[in-house]
Amino acid sequence: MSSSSTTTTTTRLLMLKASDGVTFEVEEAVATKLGAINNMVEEEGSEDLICLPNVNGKFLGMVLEWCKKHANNNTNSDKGNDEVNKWWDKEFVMDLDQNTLYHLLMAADYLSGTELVDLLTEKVASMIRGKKVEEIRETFKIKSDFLPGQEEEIRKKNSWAFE
Amino acid sequence: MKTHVLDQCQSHLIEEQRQRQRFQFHRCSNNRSANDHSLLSYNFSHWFDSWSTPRHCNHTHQVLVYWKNQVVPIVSKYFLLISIWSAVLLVSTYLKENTRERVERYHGKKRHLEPDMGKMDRLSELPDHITNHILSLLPTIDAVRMSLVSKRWRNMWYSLPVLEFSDSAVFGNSDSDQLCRFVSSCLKLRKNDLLNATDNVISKFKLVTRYYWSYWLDLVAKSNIKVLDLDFFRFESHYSIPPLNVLNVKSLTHVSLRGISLMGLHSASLPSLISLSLVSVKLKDQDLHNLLLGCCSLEKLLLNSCAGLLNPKVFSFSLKFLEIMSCTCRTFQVEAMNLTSFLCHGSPRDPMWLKLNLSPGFPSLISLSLVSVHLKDQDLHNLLLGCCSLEKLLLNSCEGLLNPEDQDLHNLLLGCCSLEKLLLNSCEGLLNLEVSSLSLKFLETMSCTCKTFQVEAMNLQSFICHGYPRDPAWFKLNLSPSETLRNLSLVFSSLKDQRLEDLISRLPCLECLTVYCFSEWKHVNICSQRLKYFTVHAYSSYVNLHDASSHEDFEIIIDAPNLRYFEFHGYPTANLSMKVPNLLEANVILITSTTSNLSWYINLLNFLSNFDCSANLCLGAYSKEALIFPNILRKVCRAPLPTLKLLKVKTTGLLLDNCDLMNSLLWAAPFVETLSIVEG
Repeated sequence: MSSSSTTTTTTRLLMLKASDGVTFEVEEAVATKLGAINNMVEEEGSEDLICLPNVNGKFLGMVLEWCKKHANNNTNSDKGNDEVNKWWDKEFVMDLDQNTLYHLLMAADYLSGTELVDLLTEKVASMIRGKKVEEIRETFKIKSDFLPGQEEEIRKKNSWAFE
Repeated sequence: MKTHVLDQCQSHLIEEQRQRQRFQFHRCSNNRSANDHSLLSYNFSHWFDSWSTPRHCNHTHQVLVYWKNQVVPIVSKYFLLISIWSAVLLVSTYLKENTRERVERYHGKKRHLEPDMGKMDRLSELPDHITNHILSLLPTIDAVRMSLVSKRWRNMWYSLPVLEFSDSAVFGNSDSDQLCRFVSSCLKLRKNDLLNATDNVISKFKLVTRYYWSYWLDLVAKSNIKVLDLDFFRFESHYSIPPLNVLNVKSLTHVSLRGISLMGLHSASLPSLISLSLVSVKLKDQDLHNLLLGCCSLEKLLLNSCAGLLNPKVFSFSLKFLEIMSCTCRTFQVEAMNLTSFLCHGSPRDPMWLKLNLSPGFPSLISLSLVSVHLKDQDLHNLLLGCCSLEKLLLNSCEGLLNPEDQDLHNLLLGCCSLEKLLLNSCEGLLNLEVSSLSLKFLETMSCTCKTFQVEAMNLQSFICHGYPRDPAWFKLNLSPSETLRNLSLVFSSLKDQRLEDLISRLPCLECLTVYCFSEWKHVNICSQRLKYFTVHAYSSYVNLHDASSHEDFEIIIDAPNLRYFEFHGYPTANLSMKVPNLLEANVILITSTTSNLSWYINLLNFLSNFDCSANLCLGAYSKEALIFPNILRKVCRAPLPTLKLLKVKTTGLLLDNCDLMNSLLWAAPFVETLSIVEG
């Protein structure tokens, strides 16, 4: 009768092994939110252990946590939960430090988690938006490698952009 | 069981986040001395996480972190300088076996990784395709500014597929010349990309401005862009008349126009267009007709606040998503058999008549939302009968929609076997509402005049019932026990306090609860394991607010080990008792009586002492006098909030002297670290 009982019987469990040997057991519906894993599942068929040598366990855990929250939407069980998901997404990216953000972004990109990449890039973009050059350098700890005078020259030449 | 590992990981994440908050808090509180120390330990804790498994207990992290700062340098010195056994023994008794292993790993890793991650430029390390993605999300001005940050970013903006200009956000409202100069320069530099002569194709063009030069749009009209977003909105009923040759760009898939006049549009040729959004656009029925004729693969149409439309018609086979809001039309005629989502919101003062062609109907409709719309008798009935895959239904202030015979709605719902979300708002004519559905997950009824209300939905997750206040005695609610219900909000239903307790005891998954208490209630006992958010409105319109005695015997008991957020509106009741060890935030809005007597302050003291366990407290009162404790009380009583660190107070009358208020609050919460007082 209820749809939940039928879905649990058909879901398969996948083992994902991170670079540091940590393994995660997740439902197929959750892991296939990641394009790369979806492809592997489709190609390799019944392979249950997937090694991901480029992703650290900590960040893989975070990525999967995100997938788990969002997989519900696809399985039709939590439709209308978009608002909750958006709110959850906000919380998810709110307190990320730049190092974690970097590793998550690299992991999400490697695993082709398009939606997660969108979420994280938007977070980075929001950190840049409306800031002055000096503020951006300070925010991201970027060191200027322009030669002395070079920066002034570019600034002068493109005064339409920096005035 | 299956998600066991992930759950562990989740708890780890939450724990880590809490730890991080603690560190940040620490940093804020001891600005000078502890700053460096905590910053360093914070970074170290992160560095540790990067190699430890997610199952580690965080407690050891913290201890280790502090050892790292102080002990490790000594340890390495011992190893390097004096290789005497006794020293090693001394150290090994000092450090436990496994921690020493970690110290060694720490030194091994140090060569490869900079330990202070916070100082690294992670942004520039990202690969090109990601940085391009990031810059594409920014207005062009920000992308151009990035080029001055370092050499890595110097020429990056030249390859971005997006041009986005906005005057208000970046340039302020004063200088339109500046925007014009900027846009012109950018277009000059990237003209070839726009005309598709190079590899760096521009696919999106967005312009939000009040001033523009028409040659920009002429240039765009010759391009092969896919997404066009023009927003020339200045103020209501002012419309720009730009050259409309952009509506002949064959590659366009998404078009969004705002503040533009399309009057006299003869033809448009947009064969690949999928989505069209017209907001505050002036056009006549015939113009819309002409426009839609040129869009043969349109799937999504949005009409919002469009002026000039009187009796528009939309005929389309490709259309899947249709939304019409706040338009001044009298009738609206739709024929679109592949529609999956239909939203029609008329104005409340002058509802529009909806004419639907029901012979093919809307067999694939999933979501239907009708607000302030007139329909012919039986039209909705016939419409719903044909929608067997409907999942979401919203009916709001729709006159003549529902037959007074309630059996009708009941029967209709039986037909919609996949309905998940049902919202009924201000539906006149319903008397005895009976909702029974296996698929229903969200149910919301507001201001419906029904007398009895019966719900049977075993998969319900969210139930919001705001009854009609005028005649609550007639309102009988019958909610069957649900294993899945997570959100419950009951307002103005004439529920008895005992019934509420019973109800909540039968809802084991409840996480979010909103309750309005009533005058006849004596006792509310909320006991829930999973409850996280609880809002209680402890007053009612039937009670004389200034009569304190009517509140005195009212009792609230809350036992919720997982409660995070608590909100209280009402008179500070003396009989509140809370067992909430995990409370993070409390929001208390007090209803104050005109004359504050001593009993008010005593009640308030007792009441506030319940919130000392919360991490932060937001206190609101309509008059600030109600929060100024008399001196005599301050001498006799203990401070109600001895450990509170964060206090926010919202009140009125702050323009005058606030010394008394400050003193009173500082007495009430002597160890507060952040105290903010705002008018509101």
